[in-house]
Amino acid sequence: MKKLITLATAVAILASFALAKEVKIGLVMPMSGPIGAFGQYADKGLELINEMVPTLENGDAIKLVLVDNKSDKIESANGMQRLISRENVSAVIGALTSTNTMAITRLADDNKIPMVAPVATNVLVTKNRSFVSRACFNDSFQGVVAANYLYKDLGMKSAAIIVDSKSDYSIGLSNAFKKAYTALGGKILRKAIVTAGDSDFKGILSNLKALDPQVVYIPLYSKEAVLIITQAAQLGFTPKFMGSDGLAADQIFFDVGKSAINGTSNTDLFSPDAPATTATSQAFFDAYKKKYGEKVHPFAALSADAYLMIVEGMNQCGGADDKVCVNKEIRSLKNFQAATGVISIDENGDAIRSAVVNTVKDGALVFTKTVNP
Amino acid sequence: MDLVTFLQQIINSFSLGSMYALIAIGYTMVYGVLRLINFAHGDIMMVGVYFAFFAMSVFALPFGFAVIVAVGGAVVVGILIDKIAYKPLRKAPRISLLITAIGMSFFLENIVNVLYGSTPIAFSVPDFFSQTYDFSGVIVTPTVIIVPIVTLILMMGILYILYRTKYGMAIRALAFDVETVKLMGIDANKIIMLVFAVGSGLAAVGGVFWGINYPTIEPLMGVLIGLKAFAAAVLGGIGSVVGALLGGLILGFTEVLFVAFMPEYGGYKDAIAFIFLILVLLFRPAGIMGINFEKARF
Repeated sequence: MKKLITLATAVAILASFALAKEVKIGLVMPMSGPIGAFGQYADKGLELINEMVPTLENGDAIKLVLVDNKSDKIESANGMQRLISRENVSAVIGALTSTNTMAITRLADDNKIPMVAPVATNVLVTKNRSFVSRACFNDSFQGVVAANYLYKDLGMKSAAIIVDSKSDYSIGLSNAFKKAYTALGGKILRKAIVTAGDSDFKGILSNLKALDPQVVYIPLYSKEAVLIITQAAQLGFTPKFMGSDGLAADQIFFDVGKSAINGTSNTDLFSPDAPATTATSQAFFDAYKKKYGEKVHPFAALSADAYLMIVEGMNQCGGADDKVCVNKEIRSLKNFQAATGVISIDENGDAIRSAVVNTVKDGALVFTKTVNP
Repeated sequence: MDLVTFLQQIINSFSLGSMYALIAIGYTMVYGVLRLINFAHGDIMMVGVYFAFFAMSVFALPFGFAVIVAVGGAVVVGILIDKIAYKPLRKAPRISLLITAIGMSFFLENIVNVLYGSTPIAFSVPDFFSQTYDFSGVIVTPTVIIVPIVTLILMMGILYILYRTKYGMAIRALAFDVETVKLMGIDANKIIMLVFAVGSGLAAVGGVFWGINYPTIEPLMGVLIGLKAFAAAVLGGIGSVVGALLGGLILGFTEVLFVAFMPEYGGYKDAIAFIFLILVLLFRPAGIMGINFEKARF
């Protein structure tokens, strides 16, 4: 009798392991380094959405496994490799910036792991990568949005561009902008090159000041962008500055920028000030405010979108095991209710969604308009 | 390029160059005395800035006091580094000292990383420094005037110490021949400590100016600046204080003017500065001031 009970208990325990499985979603994020702030925001969104949606429909618990890529693309590849071979993740969310994301897309494809990039916007992230999708739009759209806003809405006909030669994001976006802007009839007076990590931009800015452009397009990340804008102010050079989604993503943009950044605009993925369009997003915004006491950061919201996309894919396939099925489902999402609103994924894996334009007023980002695709 | 823009670029170059010079002077002094390239020097600068940040954020000290804390903190750190890492290796081969210096550099960077994280932090600067003054088209901020003047004053001060005081004589003697100096009854270690103190103090001042001009600070900010300051010191003739000033200015000028004339090639800015260094060294290996240690002219 005793033996029978022991045997039965053992079987029950084993069975429970088999039934309530754990699904691992790997995260490759910059939690430290020059863009560490980006990863910290994304992680906030992911922690929250994991609390709100902790299991799949079939009961499997979802566990997030985080790897810090230290803002570096080689570390991203290493982290991705570790997630695949040691942690056996079923899907991956990462790695925020385009350069770091492109370092891991090949691994996703080779190992057939469905991957969703929350905010990487360079066109090449999903190109020819059948296992990679993204929750955001790509730069050919973002560049067009910026060009249209500047030329049509603001009537600015002459522009200069400052590009970061180390960032694929910056290069891709500046090309897209240049193409769209010149097609509209705008003139690019000069395209100046800087490198991430530079501190002194006065040489470039004095040079551009002599050309007197109406707007300077700066598809850069927060630290370089704020140094450029403040140094331009110190040189008496005050054109309109137009940035992109990396511009204000780090709080340092506002801390250092103070009043010099007023009037700067950017194109962005999402604005917490725009009214929530679905019940899911309203629930997410409220929970975020309650847990963190601040407005939803675009990177947090987009990362939550990526999470929900993966979960939906897994639910449609009855679990996380069939990764090919999961990937197919993610790729065919149409009118999906995500944390930021309604999104659809096109045949390239890019999300068809609206962009927003914000402007800085009194040291804070203010929502200006939505641009639909 | 019109005259106003050109003058503006000259001003920009001076501003950047004098900051490199401040840090290069510390490098050059330590080398002159110890024949050691103190790779941790750029990181001592970074530590100085973080001391200032610490003073302002935790104790809410006004900026002037924070600068004093920065200099004091860097001096203490510099002396400690000498005592802990370099002094035990006085008799060791040169390579061991070099490796220790690199190790010290990593140590400082990572301590600050642990304490403050590696994400850039905003360095709060009094609004006074953001004011602009317009001189018929050429716009300057206070630091553009303050930094070169302070650099010049400090350099004069160093030269005065070196050539007009007993301690300075001891430093120059040490650069000449360590053993004989000890035979003369001078405590070599104390003099070396003084050199580190002065060099670190200068680096801290340079760091604070850097923080004022580019108010985002991070643990690795000292790396590239240290490298450039080292290049500047070598360019000017390592071991020569005046050479460090010249080297810093030249480096600042090449960087800014290159970008001013060819902004489309801005990505090559650092390459140009270092290529220039290589060229100078090919044709004049001792650097511009060509310090001749036999004559021990600092």
